[in-house]
Amino acid sequence: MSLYLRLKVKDLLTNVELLGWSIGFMEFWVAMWIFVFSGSQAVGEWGVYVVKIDVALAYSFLGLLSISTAAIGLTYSIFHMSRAARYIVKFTKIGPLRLVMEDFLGSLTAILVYAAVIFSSVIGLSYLKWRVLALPENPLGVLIDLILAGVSYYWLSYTLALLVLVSGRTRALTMTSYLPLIIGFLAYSQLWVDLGDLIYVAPLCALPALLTYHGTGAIPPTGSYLAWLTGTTTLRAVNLRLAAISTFAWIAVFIAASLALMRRSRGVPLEEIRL
Amino acid sequence: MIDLVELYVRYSRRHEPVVRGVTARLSGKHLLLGPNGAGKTTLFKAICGLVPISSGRVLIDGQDVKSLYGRSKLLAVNLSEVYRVFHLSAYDHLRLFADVMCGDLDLALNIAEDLGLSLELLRRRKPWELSAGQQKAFSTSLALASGAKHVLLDEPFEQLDPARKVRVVRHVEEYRGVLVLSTHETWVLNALSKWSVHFMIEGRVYGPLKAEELAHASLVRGEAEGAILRFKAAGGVYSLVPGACGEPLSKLVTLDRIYEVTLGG
Repeated sequence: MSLYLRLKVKDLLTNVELLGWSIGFMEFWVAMWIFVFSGSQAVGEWGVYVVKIDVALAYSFLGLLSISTAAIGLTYSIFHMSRAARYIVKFTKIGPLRLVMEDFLGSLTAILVYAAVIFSSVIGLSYLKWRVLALPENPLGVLIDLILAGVSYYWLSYTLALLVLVSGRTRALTMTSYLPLIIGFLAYSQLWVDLGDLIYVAPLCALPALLTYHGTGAIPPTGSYLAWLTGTTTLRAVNLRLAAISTFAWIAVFIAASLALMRRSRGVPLEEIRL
Repeated sequence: MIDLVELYVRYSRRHEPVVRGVTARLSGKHLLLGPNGAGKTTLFKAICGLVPISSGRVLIDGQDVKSLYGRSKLLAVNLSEVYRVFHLSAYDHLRLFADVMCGDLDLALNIAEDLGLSLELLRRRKPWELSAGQQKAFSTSLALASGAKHVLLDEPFEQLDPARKVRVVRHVEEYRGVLVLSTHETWVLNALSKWSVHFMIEGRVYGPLKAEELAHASLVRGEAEGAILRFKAAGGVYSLVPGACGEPLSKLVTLDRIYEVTLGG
């Protein structure tokens, strides 16, 4: 592992603000989900099954929110290092491709650590409450989905940071950096709202369906997950193939946009960083 | 060797160029003397490929800077903004850049210590938490420890106390390689008397001249006979003439005073 990569991971895992929002703040909602919003008992086989679905929804939706919160920090870090990045790729042994790859790998590692913390705490707290070890039906599938989420949010952050740089609208950074969180909450709204076919079109809204499927083994609906959990409404099942295609398509869009913008970016001068 | 060919740099189409038609060849040890706002930092940024070049070319060892990538040991600069990557300590940044620039970490730490930056301070503070003078010393240490063939030092004396200025002079004298040092302070003409000098005023570069020659030159208004250099500033023409027949250049302290002279001050 190169020193750049190690320091990138260290940077993201020791950043107090990032830790506070992506883990500290989300842990509060994990506790609320398990101890306040969820039912108190897991009686019988059906009760255990419902708890397992509830837990899968918790780590899917809160994990995604945590990743989208981390994406705000990523947008800032990409923006702030932009001028240094230009110098690094020209006059150090780290060329452009290596810088992008190492930055991506370091960020993805940190994002997955955040997601792992949320996942572990959901599993741990749910066991504490219900004495049910609600492990995912398909752990590898959940891991792949979390990686996909990390990849997509990383490239979304990259696109947004470069968009601010190339457009020269550096004062729009604060507003722009919150777009990942807004997108995260759009996905989160599916707990109550059935977006229907929109989940295949809206950015990264198909991720909860993939996570829930691999977590529970059941094909989830296109939305209104809480109604699905309580079984009060008949809902249309999601098309998992389309959900996967949608996620990959958005990742491709973000990467293509980043690469196109990267060619036009020269970084932001120090004096403009102090917004 | 750094070649600048008819170089123009402007930050946007609506603005006047900051660097105006600069043609120069930089090899050996050079001083780039000019008042604040003359375009020295922008010129350095253009040499590093950090600002868009409107027209003209920058060639480093014959290669256009636009097409240079992944070339460690070719060029290093002491601009603070290029040494801020992570939300980590100055020491971590020192380690990082010594590694990626294929430089010497021990040398960087020694120079930093010599310029007043203790290891403990570097471990405790992030680069932007250092004072302005410390930040300059930090980036200068990194540039000088890079072992790069070309080093650009932008105002390395700024915000430094006299004792540390003398240490910087010693380090730049010892450096083996092409070194271009920009400053607005004229005392360096005596301290670095063997160096060649380019003047930069209002985006234009004049020279080369010899530092020892300029150390004894004076600034006069108009086109003086026997002038070693004539340049335009604030809409007028000025001449540098040998001897003490005007405002002695080395006694101006800072080249910002050129504008006071133009105002009759």
